[in-house]
Amino acid sequence: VNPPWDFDAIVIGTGFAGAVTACRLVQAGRRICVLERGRRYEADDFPIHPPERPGASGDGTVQETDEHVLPDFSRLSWRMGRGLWDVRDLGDLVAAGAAGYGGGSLIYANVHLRAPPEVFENGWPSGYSRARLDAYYDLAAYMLDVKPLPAGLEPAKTAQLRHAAGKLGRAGAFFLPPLAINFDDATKTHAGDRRANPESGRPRREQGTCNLCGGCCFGCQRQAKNTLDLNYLAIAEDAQRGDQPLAEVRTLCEVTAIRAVSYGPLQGYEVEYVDHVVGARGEPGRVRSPYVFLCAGAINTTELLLRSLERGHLAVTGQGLGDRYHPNADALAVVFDCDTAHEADRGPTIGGALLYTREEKGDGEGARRDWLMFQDGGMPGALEPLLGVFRSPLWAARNRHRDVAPDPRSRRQPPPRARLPIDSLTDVFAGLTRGALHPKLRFAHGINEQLLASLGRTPPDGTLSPDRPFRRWSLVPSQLRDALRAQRTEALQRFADFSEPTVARFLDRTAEQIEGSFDLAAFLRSIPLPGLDTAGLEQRDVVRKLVELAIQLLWGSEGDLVQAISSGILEAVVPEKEELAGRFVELLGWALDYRLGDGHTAVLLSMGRDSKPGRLSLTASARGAPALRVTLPAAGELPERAVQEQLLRDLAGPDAWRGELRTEPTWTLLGKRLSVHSQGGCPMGLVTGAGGQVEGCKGLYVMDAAAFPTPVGVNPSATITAIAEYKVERFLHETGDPGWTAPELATARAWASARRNSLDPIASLRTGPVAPPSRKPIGFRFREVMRGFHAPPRSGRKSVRELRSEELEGIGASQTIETDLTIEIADLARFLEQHRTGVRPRASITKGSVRLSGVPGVSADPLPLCHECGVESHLEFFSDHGSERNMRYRLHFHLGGEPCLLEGDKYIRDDEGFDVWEDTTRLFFEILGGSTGYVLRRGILRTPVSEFFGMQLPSFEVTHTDDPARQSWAFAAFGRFFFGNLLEVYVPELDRVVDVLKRIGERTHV
Amino acid sequence: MSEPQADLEEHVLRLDGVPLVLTVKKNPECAPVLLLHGASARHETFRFPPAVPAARGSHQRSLMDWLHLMGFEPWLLDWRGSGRVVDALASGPGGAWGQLDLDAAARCDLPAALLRIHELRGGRATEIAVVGHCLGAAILAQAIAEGSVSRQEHAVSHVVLLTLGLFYEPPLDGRLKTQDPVLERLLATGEVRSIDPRTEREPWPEELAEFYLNWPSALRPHPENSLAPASCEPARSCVFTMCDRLSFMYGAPYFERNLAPGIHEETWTVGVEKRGNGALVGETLRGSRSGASGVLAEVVQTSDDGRTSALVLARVAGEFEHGEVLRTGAREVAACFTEPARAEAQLPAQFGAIPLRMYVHAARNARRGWGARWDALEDDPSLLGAEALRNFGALERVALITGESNQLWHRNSVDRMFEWLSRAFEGTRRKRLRKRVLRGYGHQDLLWGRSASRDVFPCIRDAIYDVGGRREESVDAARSAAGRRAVRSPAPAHADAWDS
Repeated sequence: VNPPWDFDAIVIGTGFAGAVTACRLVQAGRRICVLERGRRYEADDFPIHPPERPGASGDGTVQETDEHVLPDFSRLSWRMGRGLWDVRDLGDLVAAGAAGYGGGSLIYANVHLRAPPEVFENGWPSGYSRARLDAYYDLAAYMLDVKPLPAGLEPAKTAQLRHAAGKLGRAGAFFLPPLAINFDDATKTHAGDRRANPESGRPRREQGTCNLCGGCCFGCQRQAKNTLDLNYLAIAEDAQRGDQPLAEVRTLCEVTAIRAVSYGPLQGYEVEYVDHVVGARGEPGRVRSPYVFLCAGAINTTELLLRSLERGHLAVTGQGLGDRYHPNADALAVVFDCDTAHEADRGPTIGGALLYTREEKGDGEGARRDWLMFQDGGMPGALEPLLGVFRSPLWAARNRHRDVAPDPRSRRQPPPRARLPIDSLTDVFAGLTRGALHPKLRFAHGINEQLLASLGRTPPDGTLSPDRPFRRWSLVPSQLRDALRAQRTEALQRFADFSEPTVARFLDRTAEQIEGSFDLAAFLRSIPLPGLDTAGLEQRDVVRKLVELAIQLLWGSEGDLVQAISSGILEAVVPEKEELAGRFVELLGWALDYRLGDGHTAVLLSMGRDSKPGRLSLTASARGAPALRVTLPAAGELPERAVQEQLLRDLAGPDAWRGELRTEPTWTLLGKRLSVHSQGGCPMGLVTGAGGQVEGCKGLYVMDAAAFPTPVGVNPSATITAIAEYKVERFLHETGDPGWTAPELATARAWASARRNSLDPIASLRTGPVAPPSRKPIGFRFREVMRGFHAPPRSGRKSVRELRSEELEGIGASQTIETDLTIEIADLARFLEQHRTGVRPRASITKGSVRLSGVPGVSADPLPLCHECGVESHLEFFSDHGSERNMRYRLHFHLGGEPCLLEGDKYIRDDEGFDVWEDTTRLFFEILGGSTGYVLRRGILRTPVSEFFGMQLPSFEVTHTDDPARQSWAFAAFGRFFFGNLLEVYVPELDRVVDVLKRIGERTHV
Repeated sequence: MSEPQADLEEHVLRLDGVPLVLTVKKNPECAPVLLLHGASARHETFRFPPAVPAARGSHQRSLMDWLHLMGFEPWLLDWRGSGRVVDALASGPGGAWGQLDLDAAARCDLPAALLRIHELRGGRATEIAVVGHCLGAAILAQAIAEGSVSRQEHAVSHVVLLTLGLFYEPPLDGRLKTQDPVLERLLATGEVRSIDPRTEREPWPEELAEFYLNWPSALRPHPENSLAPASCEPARSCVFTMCDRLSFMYGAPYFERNLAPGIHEETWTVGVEKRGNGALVGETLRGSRSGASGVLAEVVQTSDDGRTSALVLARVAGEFEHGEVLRTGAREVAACFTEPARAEAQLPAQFGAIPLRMYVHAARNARRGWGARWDALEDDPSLLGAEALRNFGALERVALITGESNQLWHRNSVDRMFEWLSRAFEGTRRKRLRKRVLRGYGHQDLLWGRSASRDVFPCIRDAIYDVGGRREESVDAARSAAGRRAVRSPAPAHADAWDS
């Protein structure tokens, strides 16, 4: 290496792209520096989950001891202690990833699926196609030694997915994806057996054998996962030239800036990093090289470039940095109380997969084949109790992918959150304080009973279900609870005994650490409590308070806990804090209290191609540096989300597992999606060239998924690896090693060709049609009867005024008309979303009749609406003309053999006097002759008061769900939609009224 | 315990008025290992649990005995952080208090002790391994980093750092404590020279005592005792109070469940001949003649034929007699065949005062996050430079060992040291750097654990097996003998029924 450069190349990150790049560069004889922000993890050194309690012995039993150990999560979380998992709140999305030597491979679910050929057909630069990439896929598969789950090792959860596929008519769509796990002799060997070099010639570190512990996502303690540090990175680290290692690996070094530098004619980069061994207080490290490879993961790579661009360190000329970000349509779900045991804690995290292929009708580009994939998730057994939290009543009926989709752009109407069940929670509180549960309450699937059981009370209608015992635990370790109990005195004061600046500094520092990782204020705001206006809560206050709270939890008594909460968060907002604080604590305790059915919990991971991209950008933040944010399209604009949720419900539902579905809590509570498969942000073709080089920055390459212009729709690790192989080869060809190929290329090809089917199982699946999702989305239905008069047109079309005078004249006495309509909203959530996004939502009229009397030559019998003639009768809601809305009816029927159309409007307009009743029940209509289009009749239809209360109101019905919580949501959502619109018309000053009401409420009512 | 054993030799080194003591268990022809205890402890740290003379084949040994048995010559240094040295200074004329910090220990004590060992061993230029525990490891790491101890000059080739190195990271409660300026204030007054966890010594300065009284009882191992410092009745509660004070001063030193019996309570060891079914640990044994009773704490050893054992009894009331029969309930269990040996609770004999200056130095390092010299500025990284890395890289082997649940120094102290050292051990030299984090272990129980000789000591041996040119000897044999099992957690050292 020649001065001024320190290295031939710098590789940032050691995930799939980084490991490949480092390995190949070293094999080509380049001297490189590898910077990784995370730690090194060795066998048996991954964080344990939950953090160890003393006395927990190897066989899983816990001895009670009197020793006090504070729970320590620091090694699990990047933000808390430079730990394994990095979970970031990015606005519309929570992104999860790994930090560690080996990157994502340390925690991923080992799935190596090749992207179907369709992926590369659109949006990718020339040179990218499955045919072209297959050689590199082979190479990656060989290096990582992937193979499907061996027969005989199939765990219960995989078998259950297979069964469910069969029951749903999708047996042909189930397959076993290749996994990068060492299964050798898993059936025979026992703990501790390790081996090295399974096949001669393949460089590998010593590894253990999979024992199906389900802990893949927290690092394999036995190193049975073929993680990158055992293969690619091991090669890179072992390579030496003479006595000098070719790769210098620096772990716990987080790159914070990349600067273009030039020394005369020499151009290159200076990479600046924080050395976390010392911490941010130490001097930043700096290395210089003409070539820098960004492999930090889609989000971090994009963030580095965005920040460098913002500070003027780099001159990126490519437009669209941050664009085409895709979360891979990730969705995580948990199904509780399944019929059969799933044993989610046994087997590799993912064993099987189910593919749902669908034809998406594109806008003008014709049909697009697309898919969604569902995989059986797993987790370490120790995590099951944590998961149980999501079964608590707090989550009841809040788990819809679409129903609660907030639309950040719509300010007019708040997103329809599932408020009703939560209001019911308030009732529960009331019930709790009175000592009995409100009998009216019925949560889905007997949660009520479980709740009662958890509270140690007998349910009103009998005993607990005896066939499904529930373990009841608490998040607070028992010893801590004991400690709390033992110490009811002056804990607060003790805490205050530290000098005040000491405490303040400690809190501030801890708050800072936690702050970036999660939007706690939003979380708190999402728990609505009557009379509690949490809207003004500042993130910093909440975090500080929570830290204080945690300290109280650890050191204080319960009384202090209440005091801490009440004096802090609530003081500013609620005067009657004592009572509310008590309830709040109760709510928290209740929400965190978990119960589990033994092994009957299933985890589902789903992914697919996003139909619309999101965007990564830096936005100004209150403190210091701008924050990275993701903007995603509203859920309503992504048709795949609806299908996805429906399929999840299918799997959870009565035809398959018969369990209760919960979607990821970030979505449920915060309306944020969760992604573990982030891609895009520096798309090839826009920001980088096909070889990965950033436009305008010679020598700076993006090797990882950040450069994907479209999402792959399957677990992306194989594609990231293969594309990095391709790019690094291309790079070496261009920089002095023409004709260089990976030394394993030929072997890999031969190895892979013998395993073609098992390495690409999706390819062999594509035959036969796949059944669509079976269950329909939640809908809404009601019947409406209207009566009125009709008259022939006199001259042209008539004004409303004329019609009304005709009505008064009594023209209708002999010429009556009566309609009886069943109006149905097939998909209520979609309906509401259409309205929010400005599309006039439509309800179809599925059944109905029109009866006309006094028309010569037409019988007075009801004429049925016509369904066969290809036209649909419908009711269109609320076109928005400022202060006026209208509802348009279109009814198709046959009059004397001739098709005709009854078309009319209800005009919702605020005129003088109380007119809301009249406006909403009066329909001005015309009947048009189908062939000629002439107006045949016209008139007015009205809903009689008796029919409205006697028939229409009772007929309101929620369809396709028997879940009371969902039903109540539907009523509330439709009600809010309908009456909300009315209020906007008739009470435009509503906003102020609500404000006043709220303030009154705060004063008088808690 | 502290009376010298017959096979131990003591050598006193006097450095500027600070009397250090080197203790050796002679094992000529074997490679020397220097053991450095933590501050406030003393060299006896490596001599607990004591060898039980009653029967053969023990598997429970102190680190000193174990290393001796494995063919090393253990040298134990009472450096200037030792309670013994501080006691000697306190009773003497004094004057050296200003030098009782980590810098002086690293710069003077270690080189002097190493040179003396070489001298005493006849000047042979043999390699030496150094094992440091807690602040003993810290001064060792500091000495290597700044070059005052080197392979070239002192023939230090193998280094084992237990629980600490150059990076100081206490757990949450410790972090909170280091933020409090009480120690700095005490030092500034100039009236306090050392802090003593032992209860019978002079009381703590008022400010510290108040801090202690207000320390949450949830963090005290024996909260029921902790507020009774004055009267120590019975003696047990006095020991418990000391345990609490240690926990307050440094963090909880150990998990009691892990410990070999004898730290907190007086124990009786008795050689027995088995009769019928053995007793279970935790059962009460009663002497047939004396009427004395005690709880079976440990079956220390079993002879080859399984007929004779040594039992450790705790919470003994009365005095056992030679020759009497031990019963549990009506069941006859064993007959004593040796004179029962009574041992005091060991805790008071294991710890002594810590010089305030050293205490403050450690607290400053903990606040900073890494070690630096006494008068260094807050963010002084001078001990972490490239030269320090080179010095470490010149060593033959470095091993880092700590307990997963260490409540005194968070395991991250070792983790960070490991990541840092990784940059000195690159490429093929990587295997010479090892890290072991033992599940279920804390701080002091790494040495005092009832299963330590099974779980922990082999890790130390793995790291130093080839010291003194034994490299070619038989690497495989040594490794397999050490038994490289993955340690999950310290399961009981033996089955509950000792005759099973």
